[in-house]
Amino acid sequence: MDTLTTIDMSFSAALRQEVVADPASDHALLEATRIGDEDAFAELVDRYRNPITSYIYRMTNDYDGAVDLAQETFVRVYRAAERYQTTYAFSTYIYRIATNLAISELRKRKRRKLVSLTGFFQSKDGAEPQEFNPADKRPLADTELVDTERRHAVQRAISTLPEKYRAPLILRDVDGKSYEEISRILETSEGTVKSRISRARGFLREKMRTYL
Amino acid sequence: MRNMNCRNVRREIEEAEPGELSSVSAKAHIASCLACETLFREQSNLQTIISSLGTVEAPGDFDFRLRARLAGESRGTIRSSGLGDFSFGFRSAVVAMLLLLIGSAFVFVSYRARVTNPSTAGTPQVASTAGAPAPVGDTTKGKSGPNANANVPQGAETLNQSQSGVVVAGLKPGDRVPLKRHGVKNELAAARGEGNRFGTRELSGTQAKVLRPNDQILDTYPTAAFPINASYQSLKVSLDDGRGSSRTISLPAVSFGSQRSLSQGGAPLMASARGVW
Repeated sequence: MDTLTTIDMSFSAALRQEVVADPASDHALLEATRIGDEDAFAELVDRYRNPITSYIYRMTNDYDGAVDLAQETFVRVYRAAERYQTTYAFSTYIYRIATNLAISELRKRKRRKLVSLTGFFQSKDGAEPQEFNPADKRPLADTELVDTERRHAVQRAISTLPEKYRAPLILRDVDGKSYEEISRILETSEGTVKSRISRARGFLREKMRTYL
Repeated sequence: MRNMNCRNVRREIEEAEPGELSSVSAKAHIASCLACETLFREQSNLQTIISSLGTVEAPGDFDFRLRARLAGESRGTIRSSGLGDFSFGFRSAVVAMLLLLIGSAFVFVSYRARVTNPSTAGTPQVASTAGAPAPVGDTTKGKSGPNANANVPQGAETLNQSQSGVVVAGLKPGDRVPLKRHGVKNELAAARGEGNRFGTRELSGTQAKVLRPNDQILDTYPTAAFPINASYQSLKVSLDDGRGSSRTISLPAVSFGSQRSLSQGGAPLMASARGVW
């Protein structure tokens, strides 16, 4: 969150015009929130609560914690409404807050050394323990069960990725963000984002090979 | 050349949407390269699986909980702008410091009172005319005062004078002056430094001896007049209230009728109607 105030972004006249032109835009709602319009903030929450909760859940693999962090994200947006500048897309702004909160939570967990009892295997770069998650090769009767099992497997595999690979992968492959927006959210170059996403997919392919 | 094509195609596969390749050359390469074809297939499947994860919905009470949280934070902000800023540790430290100050003040006042009145701990506050305070129980020793016994012949055992000039009849030298019970109690209490801080000594309970004309003492003094060993100095009593202020009461010299009669050459015993002093 602190990095939000330090980044140097040129003022976007187009975005400013959008605020004036479209009263239903995110910027307009935040402007209204700034002057005390509670309904405008409620509309913002309604728009972003599911994407933000889902994104943090993919990052942390903990639903209750994700809900708490999503709420904390909106609290910070509300408190910083007066300092908010419309030089960003609001989605970039709120995703950056959520990313920083999720990464902070992951680092807290790492400090607490909450290692799963099944996390016997370390990743090759020594970043995080890898879950031992062998695929169940028995035939399943229902295709839906197969899909469910596969989704669970990929979620577990994502949660074992190092955080610097995890965030861009989720933003790209789950949330469908562009490389440009991801680079803004993560405050890195677009080339770095592409590289990290490629590395992340390589990790996942290795882990998910039996499902692919 | 083939490696160069594979690298370019793999980069294109990484950036492509699942199952879609934009360039014709990449599609042609995949058709002829097993490794790139495998990569393309696995990549497409992986992206499909990941994108199928979908969006997890927030709980139904998300808005309610968020409003409650914001309301709680605003209350916390209001509280933090006032005295609620101070933490529990700070308040505890303030209370502890106040208690320490009160305790220190009490100890200081007690110490100061003791320093300014050092004699109240065990010494009675009755001073004598001779200047030196008479110790308790030491009032019966004759011939100890500077002016005492100037006119007293030897053998006068029935009259005793203390250093303070108090005449006590009926006591032999070395006898202790009998004290009233409450006087003893006060003295002991003063010695212990408890209760009343004034040390008192009560001598009025001592009954003076009655001299009669046929007493043996008259044989010693045939002139029917005898001096008593009362001091001619004025009686001075120093009182200390225990708080540092003292007051000295000076009484004029006691003049007994016999002395005055003796100096005038008369016979006071004969003149006494009752024959009793």
